[in-house]
Amino acid sequence: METIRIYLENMFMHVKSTPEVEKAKAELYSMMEDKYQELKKEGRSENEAVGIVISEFGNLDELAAELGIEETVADSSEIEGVHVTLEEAKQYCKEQAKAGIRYGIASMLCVLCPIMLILMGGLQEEYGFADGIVAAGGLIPLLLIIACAVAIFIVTGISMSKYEKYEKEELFLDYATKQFVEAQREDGKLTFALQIAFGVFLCIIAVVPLIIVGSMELSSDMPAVLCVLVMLAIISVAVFFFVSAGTKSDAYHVLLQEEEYRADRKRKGSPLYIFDSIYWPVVTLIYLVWSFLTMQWHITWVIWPVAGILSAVFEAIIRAVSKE
Amino acid sequence: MISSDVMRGYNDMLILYLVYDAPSYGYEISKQIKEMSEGVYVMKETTLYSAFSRLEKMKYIEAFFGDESGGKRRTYYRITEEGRQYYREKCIEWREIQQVVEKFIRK
Repeated sequence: METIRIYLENMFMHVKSTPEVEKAKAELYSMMEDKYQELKKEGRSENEAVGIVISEFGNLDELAAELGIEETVADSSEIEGVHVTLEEAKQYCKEQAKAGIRYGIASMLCVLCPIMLILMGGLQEEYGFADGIVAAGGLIPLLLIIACAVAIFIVTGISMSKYEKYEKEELFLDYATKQFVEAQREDGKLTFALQIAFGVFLCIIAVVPLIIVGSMELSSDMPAVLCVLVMLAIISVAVFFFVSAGTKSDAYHVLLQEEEYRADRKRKGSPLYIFDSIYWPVVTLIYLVWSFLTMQWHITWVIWPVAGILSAVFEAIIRAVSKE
Repeated sequence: MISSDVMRGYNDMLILYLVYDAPSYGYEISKQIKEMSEGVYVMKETTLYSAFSRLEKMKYIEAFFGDESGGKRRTYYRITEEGRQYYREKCIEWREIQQVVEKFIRK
């Protein structure tokens, strides 16, 4: 309930207080309070109730004429950046969650693709198949599965490309939208943590059958091969959880402009923007020149982890310097 | 979901209908609109308040404070004679609009 009160205060923050404005605020608060109480009575969670009340509040523009505050409202709409409305934010979160499931399935397929190949390899040891049969029975399913995964990645990527501007350009969210996104994230926090924890748990137990079978010193390799298949299956489920949960929560980072989507990264000409656009191409160039000159490819790869760590260092320095 | 833009001009009528027989208050009215439209039309709080304030200025409704048994003090709205008159005019207007638009619906 406190959130709703603060929300209302913030909506009216730049509006001069007149008797009409105060009356409107009181009446709006009363209506929101009633709605909130009723939603709670229906068994909604605190965050859900607040989210619904805020999303159904509407727009200050509608009150402008009645309250004689047109100027204030017009002023606040002249903020730079791509304006994301509440409806758009909702739609984006919904589509991103759906895309997460698709990406999750595609990633799962990538993990599962060698299953037939491994199985055929195991069977060959046991029954002495010809190499040709193993290759056909193993590689064809592998390629088919990968083709499916790639198709899913591409189709999903294209359907989400309309939201690219959210990632690349500075965003402006009005208070209601921001509140909604934050409430959504708060609501999904537990599910997110559970999904990640469950994924980690699966990754750890995935190797258990293999360890047990390995310690038994069996004469045949077949049990071990089967254990590898089980391991891949379990890991693929874990990967599904990581990817789908991660993609979904990425939407909140994008909308709230956090981490790699921070506004100062997107501002053209800002030190970080310049850094982002030249750093990795330069690193790649150094890698290629160094590698081709020395032909020591087995050593030159080391540039990648080093560059990764250095990028974090440079970023911190740039941020510290540009703040001053 | 119908947007309030499309309903512009008829929001007032919906509210007048709901206070026609007995006074009512903000949330009750918004709840009834949602229920009667079977969730298709949800009137935003700001739309509702601006309609109240407009209707009050036109003297179609009057606001008064009422205490419910629950204890919360609420602003109630009561329809005036002008309000009823206006509501009936709106109903006639709607019938006409409906007939005209209907002719342009391809079957």
